[in-house]
Amino acid sequence: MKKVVFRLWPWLALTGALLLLAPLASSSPDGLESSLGLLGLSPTTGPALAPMAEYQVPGVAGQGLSTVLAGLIGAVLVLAVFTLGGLWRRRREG
Amino acid sequence: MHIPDGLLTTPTWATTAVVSAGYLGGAVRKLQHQAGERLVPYLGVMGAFIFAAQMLNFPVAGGTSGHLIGAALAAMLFGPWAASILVTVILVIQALVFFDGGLTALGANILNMAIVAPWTGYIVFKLLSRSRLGIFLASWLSVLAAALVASLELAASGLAPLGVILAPMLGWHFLIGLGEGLITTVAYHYLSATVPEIQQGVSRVEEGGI
Repeated sequence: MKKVVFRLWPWLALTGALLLLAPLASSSPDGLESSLGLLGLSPTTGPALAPMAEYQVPGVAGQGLSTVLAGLIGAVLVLAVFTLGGLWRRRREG
Repeated sequence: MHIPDGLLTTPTWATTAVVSAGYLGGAVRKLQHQAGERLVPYLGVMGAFIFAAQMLNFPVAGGTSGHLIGAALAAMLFGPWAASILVTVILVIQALVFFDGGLTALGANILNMAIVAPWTGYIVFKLLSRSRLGIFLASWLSVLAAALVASLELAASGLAPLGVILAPMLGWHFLIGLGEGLITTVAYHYLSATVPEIQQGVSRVEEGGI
């Protein structure tokens, strides 16, 4: 596992680069939101129930930094889910 | 294309949730049978990459933006079953942690972006024998197919007649899909060139099973 992740450093480097660019992302409505807007439907509904709505970490000053941190947390979470899934499977088989 | 809470009616979100859950159960078994744990680190790192790429909305036209789904890219690299699981993990984290896509709409979002999109991409990619044009068309059509099924869900929920929803949905995603196609074509070549076993051993894992 460790060995493979090391071999994948170009993918990890690219992921890091994308996260640093995240504050530059367009904040315009996406295709679905624009389509709903044309139909007169408001796409935003209800209060934000998740801890980091709009990809902002609560309490972090600076919107750009907050976005990068939120992205980093999300990317690490995705990696963690697969790592834990792999470990669980190995233990069950072993 | 993440559908928020409050748009889909209960029959629609419940039906899509059941379909997606049933499919995912099969996908997990299929993947375990085919690949065991060999693919896991690749999926984890590629999942992180696609999560980051999904944050980067690019402007298309008329004050509208779009972002990569990455389902077709994942399906070309790892096969459609693995791609479904990869995109599902991303969608669950987006809904639970970042309020991107609704909780009740999770089944519908998984159906659109983690099932329809990777399978469309994979089938077109295979039909066009893995050519550069094939990669572009596969990823472009994966976005249009996902938008089509999302439109069906919105129409089934009585938001508007299907014809009325289809025009803007397919129109915008026609353009967004071009972005998906460009990014995927470049990314596929770069990612598979830097990690050659993707084109040899790892991708052969999915060859045998489908």
